[in-house]
Amino acid sequence: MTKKRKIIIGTVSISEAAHKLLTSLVHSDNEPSLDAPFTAIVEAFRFAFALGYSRNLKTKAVGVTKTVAPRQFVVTEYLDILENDIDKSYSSLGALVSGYAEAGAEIMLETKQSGKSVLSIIE
Amino acid sequence: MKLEYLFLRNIGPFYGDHTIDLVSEKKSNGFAFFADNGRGKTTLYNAMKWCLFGTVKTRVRAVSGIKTTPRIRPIVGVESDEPLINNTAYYGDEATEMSVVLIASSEKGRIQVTREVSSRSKLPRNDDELDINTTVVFGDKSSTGEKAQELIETFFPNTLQQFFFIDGEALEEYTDMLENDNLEGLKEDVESVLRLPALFRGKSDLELIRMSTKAKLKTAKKGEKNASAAQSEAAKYQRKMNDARKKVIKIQNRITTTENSLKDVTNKMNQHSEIAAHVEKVKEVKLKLEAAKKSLIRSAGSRKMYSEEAWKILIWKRAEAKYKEYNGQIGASQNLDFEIKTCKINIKNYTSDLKRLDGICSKCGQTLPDIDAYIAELKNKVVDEKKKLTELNSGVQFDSDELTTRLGRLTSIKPQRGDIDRIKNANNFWSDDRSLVKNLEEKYDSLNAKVTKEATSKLGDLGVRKGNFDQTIRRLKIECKAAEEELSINENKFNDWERKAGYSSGISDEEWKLESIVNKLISTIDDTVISYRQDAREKVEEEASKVFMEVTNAPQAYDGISLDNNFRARIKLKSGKFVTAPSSGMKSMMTISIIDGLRRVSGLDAPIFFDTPGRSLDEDHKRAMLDYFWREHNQQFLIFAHSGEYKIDATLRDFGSRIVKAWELTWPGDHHNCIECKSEEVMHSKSEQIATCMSCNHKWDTSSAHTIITELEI
Repeated sequence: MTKKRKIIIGTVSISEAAHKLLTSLVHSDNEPSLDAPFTAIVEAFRFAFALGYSRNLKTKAVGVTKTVAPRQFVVTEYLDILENDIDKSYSSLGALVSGYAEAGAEIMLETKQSGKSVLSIIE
Repeated sequence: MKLEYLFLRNIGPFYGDHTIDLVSEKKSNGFAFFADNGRGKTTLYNAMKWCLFGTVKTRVRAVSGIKTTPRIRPIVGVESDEPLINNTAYYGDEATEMSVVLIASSEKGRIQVTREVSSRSKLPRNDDELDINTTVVFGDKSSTGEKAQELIETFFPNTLQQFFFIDGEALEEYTDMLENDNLEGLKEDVESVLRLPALFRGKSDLELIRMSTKAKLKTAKKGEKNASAAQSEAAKYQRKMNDARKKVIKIQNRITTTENSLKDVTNKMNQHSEIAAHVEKVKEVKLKLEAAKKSLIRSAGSRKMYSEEAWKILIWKRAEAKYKEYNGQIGASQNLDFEIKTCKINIKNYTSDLKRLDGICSKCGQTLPDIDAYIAELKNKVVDEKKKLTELNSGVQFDSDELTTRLGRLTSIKPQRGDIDRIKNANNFWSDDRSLVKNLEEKYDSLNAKVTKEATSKLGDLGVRKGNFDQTIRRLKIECKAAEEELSINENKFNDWERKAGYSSGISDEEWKLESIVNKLISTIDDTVISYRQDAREKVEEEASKVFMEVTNAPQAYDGISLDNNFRARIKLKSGKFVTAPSSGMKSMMTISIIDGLRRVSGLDAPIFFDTPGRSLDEDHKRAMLDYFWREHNQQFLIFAHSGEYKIDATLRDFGSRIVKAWELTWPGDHHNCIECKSEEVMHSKSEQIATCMSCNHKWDTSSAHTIITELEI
C-alpha cells in the first residue's frame, strides 16, 4: 500500500568556506574560551543541516566543495522528514541535506560574526 | 523422557481449562486419543508442538492440483488463516488468553514448559498485539525467552521434530519424497539426525572468515602498491613533526626560565614596601584568574557534552508536525487495513462460491431453484467489493506497519524533555565563565603594567627588567602557540600517511596463512559430511529394515528397505530384486519404518506423537503398526486416531494390556448418556438444543462445539 518512489542517496558536501567554519567549531580542550561546542565536524554539520531544515532554507554550494564523513552522517536516517522535499534542484537526499547544511552554516557564520554564541541559535 | 501432564487453555475447540494426566504405574507405553472430526485430535497434537516450538504450520493441501506451501498458523486472525485460539475465548472473554503447559520427566530431572499468550488489547487483530511468554522450569531453575527455548531444544530438538511428531497426513508427502530421485529432503533429515546442521553453521562461519580475509588481503595488496610512496611521505612528516616538537620544547623552556627570572625580580621588588602592596594585588588577581580558567575548562566540557543533542531541538521545530501527522493517521490506517483485508476475503469467498456453483444441490442432487438470480447476486457482490477495495486503496498513503516504523524513526530525532534548558544553561555557564576570564585577564594585565610603571619610576633598573620579562613571556607564549599548531598539523599528516603505508605492513604473516588454513578446514568439513552421511545411510537402512520386517504383513517375501546412494528408498524382496509397484499401504509402512529408523539412529529420547496413524493403511497394517510401536519401546507412543481408523472398543480390547491410558474427545451433543452421572435417562430438546438428565437433573447445551476430554476405562 505504501507509495514507492525511487530515492537517490547521493553524497553530502559543503563549500570550502562552510567546511572551514564547521572545522573551527570543533571543541579543543586547549582552547576552552573559543566558541567551539561540537565534538566533531560531523556534529557541527548535523547542527547546520538541522538549522537550515528548521528554517526551510537551502543554499547551493558554489566553487570547490568538501565531503563530510558519510559513514557518520547517514542521510537515509532523515528520509521520513525529507522525502517530500526532493525536487529537481535537489534530486538526491545527499544534495538536499547539503543544501540545508550550507544555508545553516551561513546563519551560524552570521551569528558568530555578530558576537553571539553558536548555540544561542536554538533559543 | 516421559510426558506426565498436559494443561490446555483456550486452544482450538478446547475452551477454558483442561488437564490431561498421563501418569500411571503401568509399565506399558501406549496412549490413545480417539475422536471424530473437529473434536480436537490434531489440536492436541499441535498444542504440544506449539508449546515446545512456538509455531504450528498448516497442512500441505492440494488446491486446483497445486500443492500449497505450509504457512505458520497465527494465534489470532480471520477464520481463513486458521488461528489457534478458541473462537469463544477470542470473541467472548474479557481478556484474550491462550496457554499450554507440558510437564515431563527424564533421568536428568523434571521439566515444565509453559507457553502463554495474553493480549494488550481487546479483540487483537494480529499476533503483533499479543504478549507471548515462554517459561521453562528445570529442576530449581527457571528460564524465560531465548534461554527457555534453548533448554527445550536440549530435550526436544526442533530439527528432529519430524521424528517424534509424526503426521499421518504428511506421510504421503514424505513417501513421495522418498521415491523421488532428487532426495534433498531425506538427505537433510539424515544430516539432522547426525546433528550436521551445527557443522554446516561452522562451515558458514568459516566461509564468512574466508570472505573477510580475502577482502582484507585484496585491500592490502592494493595498498601495498602505494605503500612505499606513503612511507616516504610519512618519514618526511615525521621529521617535520620532530622538528616542531623540539621547537615547542625549546620555547617552553625559555618561558620557564623567563618566568623564574621574573619571579626573582618580583621577590626583590617585594622587599620595597611601596611596591609590595601592588605586587600582592597582582598575585591575588592571578590566583582568581587561574581558578576562573579551570572553571571555564569545566563549563566548556559540559557545554560540549550537552550540545550533542542541540540539532534535535532545531530539527524537531519542523519535524514535530510530521510526527503529529503520522500519529494522527495510525488509528485510521489500522481501521483501513482491517477493511481492506475484509474486502479481499469477501472477494475471494464470493469468487470461490461462483466457481463452485454448478446449479446442483450437493446433498440431494436436485437442480437448485433461482440459481441464475443467485449467481447474478454473487457477481454484483464481487463488483461492489472490488469497487470498495479500489476506493479504500486510493485512501491509503501508508499502512499501519509503515506508519509505526516511521514514527519509530522520528522518535530517534526527537529531543528529550529538558534538553533545551540543559543546553541553554550549559551555554550560559560557559559564556559567564569566559567573560570572567576575559575580565580577569584584562585586570591582571592592567595591574601588572601598573606595577612595572611604579617600579620603573621608583626602583629604576628593577622595574625595567620586570617590564622586559613580562613582554618576553607574552611574545614567547604567542610563539609557543604557533609552534604547537605546527606540531599538530605535522602530527595529523604523519598519522594519515602512516595509516596509508600501514595497509601492507598491518597484515601479519598469520593473516596471509589464514586464508589457506580456512580453505583446508572447509574442505575437511565437506569430506566429513560426505563420509558421515554415507555411514548414516547404512545405519538408517539397517534400522528401517528391522522395523519394516516387524510391521509388514508378508515378512516371508521381503528382505527390508534399501536406501541407495542417492537416498532413494525401495522395498527389497528376498530374491534381491525390488518391489516395482508397491501399494499405498506398503509405501506408508516403508515411510513409517524409515522415520522410525532415523529416530533410532538419532538416539532421540522423546515421546512419539502420531496424528491420524492409520490413514491409508489396511486393517492388518494398522494392527501391525500398533503392535510394533506399543511393544518394545521404552518411549511413550501417543496416537491421535479418528474413529474411522481405529474403533475404540476393538482397540481397547485388542491392545488393552499395551495401553496405559486412553481418552475420547467429544462435543456435548455427541453424548446420549448423561455427561455427569452416565445415566441413560436423558431428555433431548431439539428446539432448545438442551439435554436434561432425568436422574441427576444435569443440563447441557448440545449445540456447543467445546470439546470434552473423557478418560476411557481400559
